[in-house]
Amino acid sequence: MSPTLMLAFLRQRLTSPMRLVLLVIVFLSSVGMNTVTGSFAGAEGNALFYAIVLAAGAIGQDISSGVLQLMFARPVTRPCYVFSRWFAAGAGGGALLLVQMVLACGFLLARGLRPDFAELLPVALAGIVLAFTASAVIVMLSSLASGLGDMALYFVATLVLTGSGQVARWKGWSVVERLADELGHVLAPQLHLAWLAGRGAPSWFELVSVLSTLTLSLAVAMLVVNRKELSYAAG
Amino acid sequence: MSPALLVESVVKTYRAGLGGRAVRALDGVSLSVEPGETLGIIGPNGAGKTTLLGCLLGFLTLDAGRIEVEGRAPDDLEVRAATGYLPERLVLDRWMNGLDFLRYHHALARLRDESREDDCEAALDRVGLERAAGLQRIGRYSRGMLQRLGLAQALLGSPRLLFLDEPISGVDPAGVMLFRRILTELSQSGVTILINSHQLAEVERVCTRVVFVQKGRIEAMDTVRAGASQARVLRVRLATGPLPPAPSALAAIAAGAGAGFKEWVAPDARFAVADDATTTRLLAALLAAGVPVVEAAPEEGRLERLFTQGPGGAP
Repeated sequence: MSPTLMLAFLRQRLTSPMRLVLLVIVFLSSVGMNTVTGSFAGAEGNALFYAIVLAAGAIGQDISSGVLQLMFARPVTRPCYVFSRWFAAGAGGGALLLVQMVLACGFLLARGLRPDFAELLPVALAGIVLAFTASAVIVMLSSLASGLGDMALYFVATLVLTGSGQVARWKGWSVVERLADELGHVLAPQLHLAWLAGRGAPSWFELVSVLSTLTLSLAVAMLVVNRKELSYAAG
Repeated sequence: MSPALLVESVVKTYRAGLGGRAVRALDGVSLSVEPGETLGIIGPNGAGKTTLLGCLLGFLTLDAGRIEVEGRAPDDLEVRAATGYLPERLVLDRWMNGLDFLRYHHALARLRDESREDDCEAALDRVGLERAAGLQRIGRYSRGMLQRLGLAQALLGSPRLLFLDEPISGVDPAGVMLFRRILTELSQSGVTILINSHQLAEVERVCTRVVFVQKGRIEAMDTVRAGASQARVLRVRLATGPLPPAPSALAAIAAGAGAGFKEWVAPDARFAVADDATTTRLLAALLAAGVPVVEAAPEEGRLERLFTQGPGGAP
């Protein structure tokens, strides 16, 4: 991984007004919600959102804009490029969640309320893992489609999987329903780590599913980028 | 000495979409470039020039053949660390300012952190961009400024190999002269340079050798400035008067100056001259003989002839 590539990527993401608006709206409303309710339940989902917003077009926009030629004329390997994009978006998403939680805790303490610290660690950890997983999925989709085509792929796939899951449930096709459900978890991974705070039993399937999604997505992204020919004629 | 660039029987085919028609962009191209050589690649649009550059830079996968850059694979990181590249379709990170862009590429090129600021400012200065321009967002740059910044990033770290794709496209005359001076300096300092350009006059000025690519093949290879063998036709316009000059007299003057008389079609006389020194001698001889010269200009360069008439038309 290259710190230069990661920093440049995050700086570039934050120069996009649309991304900034989306991040600020969700960030502020989440801090407000956590402060008002005094609960952080479901906050890990925010990390997923932050990571998706940051990772959207991570590779596709570079491909469509044509900046990859200059980058790969430098001593930068393609896997390093993919890893840097992935890690920057994941770390950015995770960091935003942590800042959100710290701010909300501060406001709660200022209101004289004591946050449930036992709840915080599992949520923060799950959020960070989900941010890196979602970032890997979006980076993979981005390697397959130019520009912001990854977002189109993401929403179309979500619609198709949700729709087919509903139809399968209605028709009683349990295998199709399960398949749609599992594939849906690739697009919107879920991870519950409350067992770390002694609540409930660990779901190893969930954990393995998330980690395999992350690994597989990165492997596909690297394969696609490695095979990509950098020429307008090749396009 | 092993060549800086070695291209052997390279074939590259593009396929237009899934199951689409295959287009052979390079068809058995072979080429060897010595260290320190400045090679021009010319040819019509779609001839395969940019594809050749893409293969040399390791951006494209070869269907057949072999490429070595300083004895290594084109995508070897050691090769890339020694390479500067200015692409034809120059797309820079528009959200950065010029200096940030250079710092970014300085870091990507794995150059020393301690010299980053000095190197970037020196590169900016070298291509004639002021510091104020360096602090401006790239999105606000003119085409010419972009080309200058692109060249500045290509020169970072004093590369041993420089690949330039249409380097002076969109550059003003002052910029063209600056580019020419920089390329001459680099060439003299032993940098191996490949220039892909449609600006034939510029190629003729800065390159030591030129390859003419057409339909994916190298159709001709020509030494441009081997010593002083820059043969061309000089058109000399004479003042119109009651007595036109006798062609035999013009031929005698030309022979005395070491040039060749080609034809007289009033008001222009055409001479074949081998080099700049012969041109000077011929003009001096004409004036000394009282021939009323009002204008002298070289006709199309040999590259232009090569381009328009094909390999057979080259002198």
